[in-house]
Amino acid sequence: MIIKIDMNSETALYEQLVNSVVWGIATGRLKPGEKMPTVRKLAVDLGINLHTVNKAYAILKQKGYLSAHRNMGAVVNEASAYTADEAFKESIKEWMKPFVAECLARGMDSDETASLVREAALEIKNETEGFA
Amino acid sequence: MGSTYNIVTNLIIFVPLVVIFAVLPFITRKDIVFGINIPAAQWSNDYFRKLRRVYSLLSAGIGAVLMGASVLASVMLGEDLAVVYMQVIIWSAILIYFLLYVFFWIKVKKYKAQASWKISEKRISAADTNVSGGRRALSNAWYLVYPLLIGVTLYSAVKLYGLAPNMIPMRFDLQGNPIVYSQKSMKLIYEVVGMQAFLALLFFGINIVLKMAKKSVDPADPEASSVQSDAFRYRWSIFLFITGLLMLLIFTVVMVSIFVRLPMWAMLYVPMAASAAILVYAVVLAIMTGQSGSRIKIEGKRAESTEIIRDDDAFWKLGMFYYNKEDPAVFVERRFSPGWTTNWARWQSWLIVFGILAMVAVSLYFSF
Repeated sequence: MIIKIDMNSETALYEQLVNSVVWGIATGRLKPGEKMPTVRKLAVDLGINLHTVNKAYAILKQKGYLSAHRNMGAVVNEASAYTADEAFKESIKEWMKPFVAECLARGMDSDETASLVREAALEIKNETEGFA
Repeated sequence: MGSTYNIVTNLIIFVPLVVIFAVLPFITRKDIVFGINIPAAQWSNDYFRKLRRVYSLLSAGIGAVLMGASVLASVMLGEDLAVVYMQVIIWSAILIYFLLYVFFWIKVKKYKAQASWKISEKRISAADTNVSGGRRALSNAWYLVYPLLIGVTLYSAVKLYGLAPNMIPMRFDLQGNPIVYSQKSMKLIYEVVGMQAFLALLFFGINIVLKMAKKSVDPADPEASSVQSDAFRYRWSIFLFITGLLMLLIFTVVMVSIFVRLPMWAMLYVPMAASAAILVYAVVLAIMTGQSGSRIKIEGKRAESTEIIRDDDAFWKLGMFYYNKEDPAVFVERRFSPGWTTNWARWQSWLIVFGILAMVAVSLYFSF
C-alpha cells in the first residue's frame, strides 16, 4: 500500500501514519499477515524521523493492528487481534462525543448525525474496490 | 599500430561519456529540470526545450574537444608525459562539466522565480509499504561468486608459480615485447589478489548501499513510480554486479599473464573490450531507465501535474549536493542524473568520504 503523509499538515506525522495504516486495513489494502517495512526503511523512504515511525508502530501494536516480527519488522495482525469489543466501543463512543456535540449544537438530530457516519463508512468501503 | 590502439582506447572511454552528457537533460524526471523542481506539465515548454538543446550541444562540443586533446596527447607525447596530461584533461573535464551544470541550474532557478507556478500547499511524502513484492536490489548471495573467483585465481596462481621464469615481464610495448622485468616473488600474487579483494568488497558495499537507499516515490503518481523505482534500482544492481565481475576477471587475466605468456591480443583487447562493454551497458541502461526509472514504460501512468507537487530545491545545494537534516536517509537518488548520492547532513556521508580518502592514502603509501 502507498502511504502518503503531508509534512505541512496540522495533524501530527505519527497520527497521519497511524491513520493511514488503519485506513489500509479497513479498505483491505493491507491484509492480515502482510509484512510491514522496518521502522528505519519506512522513515528513510518517507524522509521523516525514526522516532516518529517508531511511535506510530508502537501505537498500532498497542491497538492490536500490528505485531512485532523477528528481525525488527512488523506484520499486520489477524483480524481476531482487533475486534470491536465492548471496551473498544466504549472508548470510541467517548472519543466521538465532541464531534457529535458539534453536530447537535448546529441543530442536527441523532438520525442525521448517524447518517453522516454511514456516509463516511460507505466512502471508505467504496475505496476498497480494486484492492480487495 | 601504437597510435591506432591509443586512439581506439580514447574513443572507447570518451564516446560513451560524451553521449551520456549530451542525453542527460532529456532522460531526467519530468518534474525536475537541471536540478530545479517544476510542474511536470511544464517540462516540454519552449524555454526548457531550448535549454536542453543548448546544454546538449555545448556538452557534446566540450567532450569532442577534450577527446581530441586526449587523442593528441596519447599520440604525440611520450608515455610518462601522456599520463600527466591525461590527469589534467580529466580534472578539467570534471571542472568544466560542473560549471556548465551550475550555469544551467542558475538559469532555471531564475526562470522559476519569475514564473507564477502554483506550488502545492501540502508537502506530500509517499512510500510503498509493500516489502515482499518489489525487490530492492540483487540478492547479496550473488556476491559469493566474487570470493569464489578470487579463490580460483589465487589457487591457479600458486599452481602456476613454479612454471614461471625467475624474471617476469611486467610491462610490454605495443608490439608485445617486454620492456620492464621484475623478480619473481609471491608478492606479485598477493598484490593482484589484494586488488581483487578490495574491488569485491567495494562492489559488495555498493549493493548494500542500494538496499539502504531511499526509494523515491513520486507523490503525484505513487503507484506507478513505486514500480518504476524498484525496476530502476534492480536493473542498476545487476549492472553493478556484472561490472564488478568483469573487473575481477581483468585482474585474473593480469594474474595469468604474469606466469603464462598470453597472446598479445588477449593482453590488449580483453581489458579494452571489457571496459567498452561496461560503458556501453551504462549508457544504454541510463537511457532505458531514466531517472528513478521514469523512462521505464508501465501501464496506468497519470497525467502530468500543472503544479509543483513537492519543492525540494532548498535541500539541493547548487542543484547537486543534498543537505537535509530532517531526512534520516544517508543515500538518496541523484538530482540530475541516474544514480545515487549522499545526504551531507548525515555524519555517515562524511565517514564514507574520509574512509575512501584514507584507503587511497594507505594504498599510495604502500605503493611507494
